[in-house]
Amino acid sequence: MATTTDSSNTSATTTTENATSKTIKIQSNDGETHEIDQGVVEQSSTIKTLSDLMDLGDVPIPLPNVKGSILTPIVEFCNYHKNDPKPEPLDDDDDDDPNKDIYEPKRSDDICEWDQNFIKRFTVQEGTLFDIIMATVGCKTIANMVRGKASSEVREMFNISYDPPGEGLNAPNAIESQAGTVPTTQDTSATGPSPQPDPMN
Amino acid sequence: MKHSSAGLNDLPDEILMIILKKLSNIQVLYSLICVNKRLHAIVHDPIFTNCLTLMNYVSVDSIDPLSDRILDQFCLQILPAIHHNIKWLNLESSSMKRILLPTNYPNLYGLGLYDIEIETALSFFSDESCLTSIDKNQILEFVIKHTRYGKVNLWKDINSRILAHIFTTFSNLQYLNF
Repeated sequence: MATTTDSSNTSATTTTENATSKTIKIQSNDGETHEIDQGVVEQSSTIKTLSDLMDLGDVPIPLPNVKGSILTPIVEFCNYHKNDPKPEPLDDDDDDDPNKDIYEPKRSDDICEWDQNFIKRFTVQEGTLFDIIMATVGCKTIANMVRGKASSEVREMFNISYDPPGEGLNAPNAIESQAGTVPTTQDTSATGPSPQPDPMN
Repeated sequence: MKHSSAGLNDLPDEILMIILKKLSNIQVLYSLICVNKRLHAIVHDPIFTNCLTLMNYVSVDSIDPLSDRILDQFCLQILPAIHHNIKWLNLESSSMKRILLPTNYPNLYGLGLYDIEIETALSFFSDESCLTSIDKNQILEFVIKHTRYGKVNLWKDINSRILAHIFTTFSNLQYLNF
């Protein structure tokens, strides 16, 4: 049965008049409907494009990949973050710097306290962490879970069945046969600061 | 609670890339190579294999080698599997031979040596055993930083010798940070 939820902003930030002047409805794949304001719409390119292109009126935008149990916290997340400052554009000035690691990983240990508490509701065991990633957030949490783990531990942690990538010298069979040589405990040095080419420059 | 069937392997490539780009290339390769066919293929992407920094920055002026466990995995398995992809290597003094010797790096054009004793740097060029794994004429960019001089007094003289070695060995060098 479809339910309608009026999602209110739980953050301490002030909502501008513009952000609340227009509302649209979105609907999960199990019929749960939420009414969201423009501040939330702006955070989803899919919803924003649809709402810009069409005069939806009272017709909810269907979200076939999102369950109601996941859509509710997503709306809560977007409401909390809708007044966050927009991320600064990337600075391309250093493109010519040969020491600049263009593949330098972004930090994943800078999740704010509200987001950390938010993500605790979702777990790998129940699959809900992946549901929330599929829909919106959680990438940093998964990255932190992977960091420092051996491939066998990653396979076990995420219940991934092993299908051999190939044959030959570089095939994982060789690695599998030496799995006993790889300790299964997390290595503390692997969780230290991410290596960068030359931070002292 | 009803459990979802979604797992890491169900995520689209775009989301997996977002997750993996939050890790260093070393962390990605160590943890995900050979996990399964799909992840194995993804982590072979040049974005994760072109430039490798095989050391840990403890602080802004302190560099440590990777742990033995991780180095073993790289030297025995990972580097031989991806050596054709590697274009840049950043290494620290104590593990550089261990990393350079097990395989060759036919497409390497950039090399960075960090936290190195000046005498070790000299032997790196005079011994040449480390250099057999790379095509010296192909090295275009070379960085040697945080050099330690220990008890060496004539550092200007030894620097001159190092520079002479560098320019003789890497005849096509276009960029040097020393």
